[in-house]
Amino acid sequence: MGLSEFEIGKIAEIVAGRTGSSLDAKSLRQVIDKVVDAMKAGNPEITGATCETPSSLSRSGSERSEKPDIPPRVLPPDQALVADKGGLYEQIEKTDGNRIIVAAFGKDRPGIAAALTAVLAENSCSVEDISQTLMQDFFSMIMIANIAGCPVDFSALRDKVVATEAQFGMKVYVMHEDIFRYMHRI
Amino acid sequence: MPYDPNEIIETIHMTEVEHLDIRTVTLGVSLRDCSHPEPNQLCANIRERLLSVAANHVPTVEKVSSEFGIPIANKRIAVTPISIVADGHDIGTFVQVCETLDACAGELGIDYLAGYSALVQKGMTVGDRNLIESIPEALAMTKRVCSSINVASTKAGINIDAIARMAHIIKALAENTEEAIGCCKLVVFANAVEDNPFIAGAFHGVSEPQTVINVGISGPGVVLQAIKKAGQCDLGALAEVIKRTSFKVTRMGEMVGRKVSERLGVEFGIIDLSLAPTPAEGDSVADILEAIGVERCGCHGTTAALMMLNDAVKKGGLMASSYVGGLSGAFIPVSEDQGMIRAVEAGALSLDKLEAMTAVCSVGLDMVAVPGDTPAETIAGIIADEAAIGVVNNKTTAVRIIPVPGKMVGQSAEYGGLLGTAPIQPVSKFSSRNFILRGGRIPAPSTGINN
Repeated sequence: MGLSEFEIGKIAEIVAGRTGSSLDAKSLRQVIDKVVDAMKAGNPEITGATCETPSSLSRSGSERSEKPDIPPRVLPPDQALVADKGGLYEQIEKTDGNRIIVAAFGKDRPGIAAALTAVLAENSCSVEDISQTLMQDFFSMIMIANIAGCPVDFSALRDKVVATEAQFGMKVYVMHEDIFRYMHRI
Repeated sequence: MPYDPNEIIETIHMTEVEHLDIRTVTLGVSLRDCSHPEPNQLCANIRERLLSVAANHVPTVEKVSSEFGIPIANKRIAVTPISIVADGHDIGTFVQVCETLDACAGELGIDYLAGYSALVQKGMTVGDRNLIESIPEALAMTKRVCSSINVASTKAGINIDAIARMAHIIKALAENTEEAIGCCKLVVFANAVEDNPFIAGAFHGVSEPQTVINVGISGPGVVLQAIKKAGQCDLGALAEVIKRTSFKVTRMGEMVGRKVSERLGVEFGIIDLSLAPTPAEGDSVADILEAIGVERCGCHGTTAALMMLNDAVKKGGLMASSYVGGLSGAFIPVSEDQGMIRAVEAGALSLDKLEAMTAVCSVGLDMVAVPGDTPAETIAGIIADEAAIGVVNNKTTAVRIIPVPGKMVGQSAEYGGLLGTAPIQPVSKFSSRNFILRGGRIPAPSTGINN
């Protein structure tokens, strides 16, 4: 669905207020889903007229009309987005690695990169970074791809990507980014 | 790119070529509230607790393993010491509880469940005594249950009466099982820890939460490769290489533990930084010591090399995990380590040298086979010596000794699988009898009076 910048800012602000500093990816997802649902239902808190306090969002429908105890904290949309990027996004990065690393090694043949990226694209994964080296005719490629939108689970995706091995006579490894993050970063 | 391509290639090499794995993910389960005066109800309570709490343990660990491409060798369970849960019951009920635990482990797809234990460093309750007396029958009738008895601690001293009794229990268990395989499931501890994830000595201590995930790392293969790659460098530089490798292996353990605990909704306890060998070729602590420079594990210099290895593994691991616990030190089981077996067979590694090595690494005389006609008092003497090393150095030591009936020095006992092959090792021909028969408890050493 198309969201205006104001609407995105509002969602981020409410979500940030609801989740506070203790956050895991699953509960974040649940909160976002609730807010988006409320928005779809035409709840005025998102569409602009008034802004409900974060704490009252968790109450049942009958209580919602009550006057909130704490005055709402309203940030202009642009500020809400900035706050979001500094806090929430960083926490998502820390708690939920949704990127994979694809490494391919083998003799250089036309179409290797195209084949691997095609599999990723078919599964709605976006390639974020690629590094390639070619030593004589030996080819190595490392890709980082975001699998946030991938409809299949990691194991199924890995099998699909690794299946390109046979076609090109190369070795393909697919690993979750978390492994590298834990092993090489503190 | 947020990662250096060399880091990525190194990680792939460690997991794909050097067989980096996690040795065990152990679920600790409290059974304290399962107690009941009626034996059948007691067993039903234990069964219900285990089958409900641990139902998803194996599938979850397997899913994490396949998703991250990190093999996890063992999925295990540790329970509250059964002497506490079933205190007041008779020997027959203890055997019944042991069978219940065995059946539950089977249904959950777990190869070993540990915690058929008692802590008797200062003396025994009725439950402690009955549990110990039930061991020869209980462990002979079951396959998956492991037992540990703590007979000494730095705070309480060394319970020689308990050690003397345990020596007879070990002999009886050996007689009751083929090739004395039952003894592979029985450990006698000094300073046992409450959060050890490794079988056979694991139990869920009384200060632990309701459920907890503890992870034991492995990695002798990865450390061995790193040492070989380091080539000719001095020992300071080598310690650095081991530290770095240990850091990376521990980070994997930390990741796996956190993922599993998150998915199971169970608290994450500790990482145990132990180098745990397996009978697989290359997965050997003895091979590491030989790569460091001793010609055969057990020759002069081995204790120093092991001390450096153990210390470097800890230093690397301490930085890598927020919660380090358990035993955290290299294991030197004989039958489970190809290099140790070779060293014993070559005459390089004696029980005496192993005993010295236990002063600088984790655990103690582990999986050592001795002749079946070894007197119980000699076995008690061996246990008392190990306990003394643990108690005075304020560390854990243990004895898992297998007196194989009918076997003599030069022969070996074949167990296969993770337990490996145990060459029969000679013991002293002089008697410890009069020392052990004095009985009583050796008082706590002055190192234990530290308040």
